[in-house]
Amino acid sequence: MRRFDQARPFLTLGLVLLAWMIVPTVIKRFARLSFYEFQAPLDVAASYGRELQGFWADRTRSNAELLSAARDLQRLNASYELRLQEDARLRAEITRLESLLRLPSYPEFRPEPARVVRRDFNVWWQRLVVRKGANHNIRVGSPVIYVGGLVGRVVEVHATTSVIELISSPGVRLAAVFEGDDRPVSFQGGINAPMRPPEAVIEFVPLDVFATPSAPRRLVTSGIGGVFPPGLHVGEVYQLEPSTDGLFKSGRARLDPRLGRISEVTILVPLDPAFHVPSATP
Amino acid sequence: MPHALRQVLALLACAAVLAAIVYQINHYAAPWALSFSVAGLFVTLPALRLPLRTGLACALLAGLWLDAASPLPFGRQALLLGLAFCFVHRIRDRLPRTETVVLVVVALFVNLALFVALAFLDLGALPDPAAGGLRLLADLLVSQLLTVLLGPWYFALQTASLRLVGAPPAQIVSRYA
Repeated sequence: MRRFDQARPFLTLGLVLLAWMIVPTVIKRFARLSFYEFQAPLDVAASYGRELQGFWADRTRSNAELLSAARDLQRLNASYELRLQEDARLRAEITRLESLLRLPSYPEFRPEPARVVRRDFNVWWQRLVVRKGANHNIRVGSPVIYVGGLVGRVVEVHATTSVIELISSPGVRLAAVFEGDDRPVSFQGGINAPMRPPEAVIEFVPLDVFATPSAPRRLVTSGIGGVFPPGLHVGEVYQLEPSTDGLFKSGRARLDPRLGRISEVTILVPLDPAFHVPSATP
Repeated sequence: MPHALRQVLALLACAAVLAAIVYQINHYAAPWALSFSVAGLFVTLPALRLPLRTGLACALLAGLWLDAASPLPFGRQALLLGLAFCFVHRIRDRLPRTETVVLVVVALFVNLALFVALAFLDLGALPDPAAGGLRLLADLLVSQLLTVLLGPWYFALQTASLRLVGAPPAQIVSRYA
């Protein structure tokens, strides 16, 4: 009898587990979404609280500081105007060449800026929760960028929030190219040592490519696969060594340390409704 | 409302508050590549002070709450917390379980066990297990520190919440008194 009493917690847990296994998936999915949507307002409220805190902190700044910031912004706006004109000229040139060479055009995206509600970085996953979701027609699989280049892609879309998996996450693999080279290499995030910026593993690098800590090589997205637009900054490869098979090299890439402090991102929502973005939701 | 249901709801609300606080701490700790986990705190008081079914329901619901915000399969953390609950519940009669210090020590052991279990399950999935191991060690150290800091407050919050809803845990006559 005493032995049964000792085993009772495990027997009860076993019964619960058995019941859980026969519960239909749709009910589990509904339960997960319900639990998530209950939590979401807490995160969103905390992010609004942080913004309010920032607003009142900014109110303490003097007029001289504000005038100086406005002058800096004026200069920045003038340079952006020039860039926009250059951008329009280059776009027209790309369209002309595409029609001339009958090349398929790159998919068009709608940029959707979003504030980061929560950073959830640990050794197993690196995710961001942002304050826009199905209410802004965000789609699962959409690429996400920021001022430092590629952030990752949307893996979950909820009512008012979305979850982004970062390129520093161990589960993210993508095809990248070295700047000025068109041969694709494999990129996998997931080296997140404590107190250090994130790093990634690079594989299948051609033998004639070299990179050292003193002469790192810039890595950008290749556009292969159609998820990420080409040319987005991914990281800097600082180490390359021949792999065990001797056919390729493998090495390490340093990711931008700003990924860890990211507070605003831009989600590139595909405009074409038929555009297929592979789902990464577990 | 039944006594047990009030206990479950009160402790689930406490778990939600704790989870929200830890999420915010992790948000601010992200630039230093550190993350905190205080899973042991969700299990300890239900396992040491509540009846089996009520306590297990609290542990499992807290696990599902954590699962909903993580990319892990839904129910995995619930199962781990449920197992931890069962182990602690089995040995609780041998512990002076009214003492806050004991609750904190049990939470530390549960945290350690959950870290080790997760490491065994998933360490192979990391591209560089050595760097992953170092990160896990650093996370474990800061998590244990946070558990020690938050533990007494959280157990007081749970006890006060149970009293507030009129469903305090049954009095225990300590054999260590």
